[in-house]
Amino acid sequence: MNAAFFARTVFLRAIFSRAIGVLLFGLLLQANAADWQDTLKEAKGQSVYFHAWGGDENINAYIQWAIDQVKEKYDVEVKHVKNVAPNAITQILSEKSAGKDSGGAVDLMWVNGENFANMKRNNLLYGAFTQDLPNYQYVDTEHKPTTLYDFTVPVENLEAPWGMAQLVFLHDTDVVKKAPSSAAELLEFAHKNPGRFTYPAPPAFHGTTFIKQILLELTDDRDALYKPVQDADFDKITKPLWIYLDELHPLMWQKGKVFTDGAPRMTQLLNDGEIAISLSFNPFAASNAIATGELPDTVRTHIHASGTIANTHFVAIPYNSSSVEGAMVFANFLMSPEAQARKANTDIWGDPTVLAMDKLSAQDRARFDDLPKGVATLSNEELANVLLEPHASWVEALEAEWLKRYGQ
Amino acid sequence: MAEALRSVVNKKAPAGASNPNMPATLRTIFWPLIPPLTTAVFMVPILFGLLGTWLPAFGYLPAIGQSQFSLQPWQALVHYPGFFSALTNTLVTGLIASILSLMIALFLLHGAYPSQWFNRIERALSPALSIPHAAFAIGFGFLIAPSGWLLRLMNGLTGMFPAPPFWTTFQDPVGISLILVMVLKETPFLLFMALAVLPSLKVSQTLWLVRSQGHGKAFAWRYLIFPRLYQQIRLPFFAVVAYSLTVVDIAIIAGPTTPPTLAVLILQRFNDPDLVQRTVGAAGATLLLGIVMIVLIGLSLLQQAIQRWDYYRLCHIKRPKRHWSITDISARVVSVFIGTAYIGTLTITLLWSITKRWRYPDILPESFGLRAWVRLNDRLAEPFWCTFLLAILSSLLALILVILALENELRLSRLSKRVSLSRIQWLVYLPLLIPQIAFIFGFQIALIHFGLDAQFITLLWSHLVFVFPYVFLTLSGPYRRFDERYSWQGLTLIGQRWKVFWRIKLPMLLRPILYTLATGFAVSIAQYLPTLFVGAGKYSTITTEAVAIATGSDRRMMAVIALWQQTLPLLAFASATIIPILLFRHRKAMSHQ
Repeated sequence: MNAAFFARTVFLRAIFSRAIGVLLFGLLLQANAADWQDTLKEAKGQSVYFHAWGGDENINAYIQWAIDQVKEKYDVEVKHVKNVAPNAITQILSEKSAGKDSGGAVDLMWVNGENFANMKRNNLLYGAFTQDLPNYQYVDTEHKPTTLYDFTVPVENLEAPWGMAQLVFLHDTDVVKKAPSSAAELLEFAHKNPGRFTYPAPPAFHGTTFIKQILLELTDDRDALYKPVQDADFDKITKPLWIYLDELHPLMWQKGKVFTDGAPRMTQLLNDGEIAISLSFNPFAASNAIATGELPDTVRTHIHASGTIANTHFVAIPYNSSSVEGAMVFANFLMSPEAQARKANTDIWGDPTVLAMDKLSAQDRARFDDLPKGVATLSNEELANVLLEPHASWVEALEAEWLKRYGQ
Repeated sequence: MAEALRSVVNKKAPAGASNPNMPATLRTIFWPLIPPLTTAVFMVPILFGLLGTWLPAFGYLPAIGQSQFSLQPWQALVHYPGFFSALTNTLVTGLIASILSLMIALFLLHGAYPSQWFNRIERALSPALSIPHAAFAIGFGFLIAPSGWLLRLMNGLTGMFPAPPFWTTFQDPVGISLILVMVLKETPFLLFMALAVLPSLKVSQTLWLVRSQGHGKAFAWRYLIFPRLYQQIRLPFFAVVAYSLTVVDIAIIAGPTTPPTLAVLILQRFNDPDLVQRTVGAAGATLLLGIVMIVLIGLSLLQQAIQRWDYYRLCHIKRPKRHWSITDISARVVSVFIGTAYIGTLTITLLWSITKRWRYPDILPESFGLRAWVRLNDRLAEPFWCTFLLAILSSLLALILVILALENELRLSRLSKRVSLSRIQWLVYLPLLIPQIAFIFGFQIALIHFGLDAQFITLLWSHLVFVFPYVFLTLSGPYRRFDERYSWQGLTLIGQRWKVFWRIKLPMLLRPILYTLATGFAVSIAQYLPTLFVGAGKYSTITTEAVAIATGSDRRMMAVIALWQQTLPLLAFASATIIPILLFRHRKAMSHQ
C-alpha cells in the first residue's frame, strides 16, 4: 500500500465522512426545522403567561414590545404577569401540591441563580428545550460560559439565556473624585466619607452578590469558592470577609444598623445624596437612570480592577406549563438578533446581549452597531473584566453566616 | 345572625308567622339558608387555608419531597438568626402602635367631640382612609427621611444641612418610624368606627347630665363613655391589633431591617430560593397566628382588670372634678399634627408624580414632566376595570349578605328567640384576625385541587372573605339602631314586608349603606396576596401593579400609581356623601341624620 494511495484513501474517507456529516447535519437541521414548524403550528393561538419582575418601566415597555411582535408574527398571545420569581415558584409549588401536573398558571418565567438551582433540584422545570430553538445557535456559549453554567449549576438546556448581567458600582462624581478600584479602596473611601456607602442586606441578591464580590477579592483560596462549600474550610476562607465587614459597617450609611432591601432603593438614596456609591447588576443602569431623570448626570459607573461578578439571566418553562410551544416561541423570539439588539439599546432597556457577534449574519450584526451606550457606561473592554459566580452552595452558607453576625 | 346559626345547628327551622307574603315553604327554605351561606363564605377558605399552612409547618410538603411529619421547621425557625429580635420587634411595634392608635382616637374624642372642630376631623376621615397603607408609608418616609422634605425645608431656612445628616429618622432599628406610620394610618380608622356607634351612646346628653351633677368632662369620658364605646369598637380594635402585628408591606418600607419584624422575616422564608424554607415560613405564619390570639386574649383580660379597677375607684376614691381644658387644646394640636402628616404626604406624592428630576437639597423638583402619567396611562385600562369590577361586586355581595343576616336577626327577635350575638360574631371577624399570610397559600392549594383556581368568580370570593367583615363592622351598628316602628307603621299602610323594606327602611338607611359600600370597595381594592395567588397572576389590579412598581426604583411611577390607587376609594366615599344629599335635597328630615 503506497503512500499516495493511503493519502487518497484518507482523503476520500475524510471527504466521505465530511459528506455524511454534512448530510446528517443537513438532515438534522431539516428535522429540527420541521420540528420547529410543528412547534410554531402548535403555538398558534396559545396564551402564554410570562411571569417577570415588573419594577422597571423600561423593561415592562420592552416586554410589551416583544409581546406585540410575537402576536403579530406567530399569533401567540403572551401576557406579562408582573411577578417576582419566588411568587411564581410558590404558584408552581401550590399546583404541584394540589396535583395539577399540567395546565399550570405559569408558562414561562424570568429566573436565574439559586432559584433556578432549586427548581432544577425539585423537578419543577419542563425539561431541555433550548436546543430546539433556532436562535439558540447564535448564543455565545464559548465566550460567555455563564450561559451554560448558572451560578456554576449546569444549565443543561433547561433555561434559555436572555441577557447578561455584571456587578457594577455607581458613584456620584460630585462627591467621589476617584472611584475605588478594589475592596481595600472602597474601605478607604468609607473611612474618608463615613455614612456614604451601603449595600443591601442579604438575602436580597444584590447584597449577597456584594459580599461574594468582596470575598472573591480578599480570599487567597479562590478555587475553593468554585467547589461545593461542604468541601471547604468555611471559617478559614471567609475570615478576611468578616474582618473587612466588621470594619466597614460602622463607616456605612446609618452606621450599618439599617440596610436597604435592594439596589432599587439604593438608586433612590444615591439621588437623594444620602449615599455616594451604589451598585447595580446592569452595566447600563447609570446611563439609563440619567436618561429618565432618576439620577443626576454626575453619576458614573466603575468596577473593581480584579473584575466583578458576572452572570446570565434566563427564561425557563415550568414542568406544568399549559402552553409549552407558545412559551418556546416567545423564548426563541427573546433570543433573536432583532430582540437582543433592541434590548441592548440604552434608550430602550440597556441589557447586554447573550449572542455572539461572529455567529450573526452581517445584516444582524449591523443591528448592534452604533447602539447608543449612554454617557455613564463603561466600554466593552473595561467590562470584559469579569469574575465567575462562586458555586451556588456558597450563597446559603454566606447568607446564614452574615445574618448570624449582623442580622440579629 | 348568631341565633340563626344556632337554630340551624339545633335543626330548629324557624317558622315565620311574621311574614305574611312569602309562601311558607319558600320561607322555611330561604331564611335558614342565610346563616350557613354567610358562614361558608368566610369559613371554608379559612379552614382549607389553615390546613394548607399547618401541614407544611409540621414538615409535610410532598411537592418538594417532604412527606414526614416533624418539628424540624419549628427548630429551624427558632434557630434562624435574628428570630428572637424579630419577635421582639413585632411585639413592640404591633402592640405600641395599636394601643397608641386607640388612645389617640379616644383622646381626640375626649378633647373635641362634639364640636365644630370634630366635624372637620370627621370630614377628613374618608380621604385619609382611602390612601393605601404602602403609598402612605412611602410618602411619609420622604417627609421624615434624612434627605426628606422636612430636612430640605430646614436646610432652606438655615442652610445647616448642605448634605443629608447622618440621623436615623426612618426605618430605625427600634421601629419608631413604623409605629408612627401605623398610628397615623390606624387612628382615623378607629375614629371612623367610633363615629358609627357614638350616636347610640348619647354623648351630649351624658356630658350634660354629668356636669349637672358637678362632675368634670374627664370623669364622664373616662368612666361613662369610654367603657361602653370600647365595648362597641372592640372588634375593629382587635382587627387593628392583628393588622399591626402581621403587616408586611409597610413593615418592609418603614420598619427595622436587620432583623425586620417577624411577618417580614416569614415572608423572606417563603420567598427563599431554598424551597424547604417554605416549611419554616409556614411554621412562622402559624406562630404569628398564635401570637395574635394570645395578644387578643391578653387584651380581653386586661379589659376585665381595668373594669374591676374602675369599679373599685368609683366606689372608693374621690371622683375627679377638674375639667381639663388642656385636653381640648392638645386634642386640636394632635389632630393638626395628624392632618399635617397626611397633607404633607399627599403633597409630596403629587409633586413626585409630575417630577422629572428632584435631588437633595431642592425643596421643589428641579424639572417637571408628565412622563410617568403618560406611561402608566397606556396600560392601566385593564387593571383599572378589573379592580373596579372586583370592588363593586364584592362590596355589593357583602352588603346583600350582611343585610340578609341582619334582617334574619331581626326576624328571629320578632319571634322572641333569644339572640346572643357576641359569641358567634367572632366568626365573622376571623378573616381580619388571622394573618393573611397564614392561610392564603393553603386556600390557593385547595382551590387548585378542586379546579377552581385562576377564575374570576373565586377571585371575587377571596375578596368577599375580607370585604364581608368590614361591611358587617360598618353597617351592623346603624342597622341595628334603626327604629323598627317605621317598618311597623309602613306595614300597616303598605302591607308587604319587602315593599316596606324597599320603600322605607332602605332609603332611610341609605347613608350608612353607601358608606358601607365605600368601605367594602376600599377594602377590596387594597387586596394584594389574594389577588395574586387566588387569581394565579392572571388578573392584574391597580394594587398588583402598584406592588410591582414599588419593587423598582422610580418614585415618579410609584407616585402616579399611588394616586390612581386612592382615586377609586375616594370616588366611592365622595359618592357616599353626595348621593344622599342629591336624592334627599327636597326632604328636610332626611338631609342630616
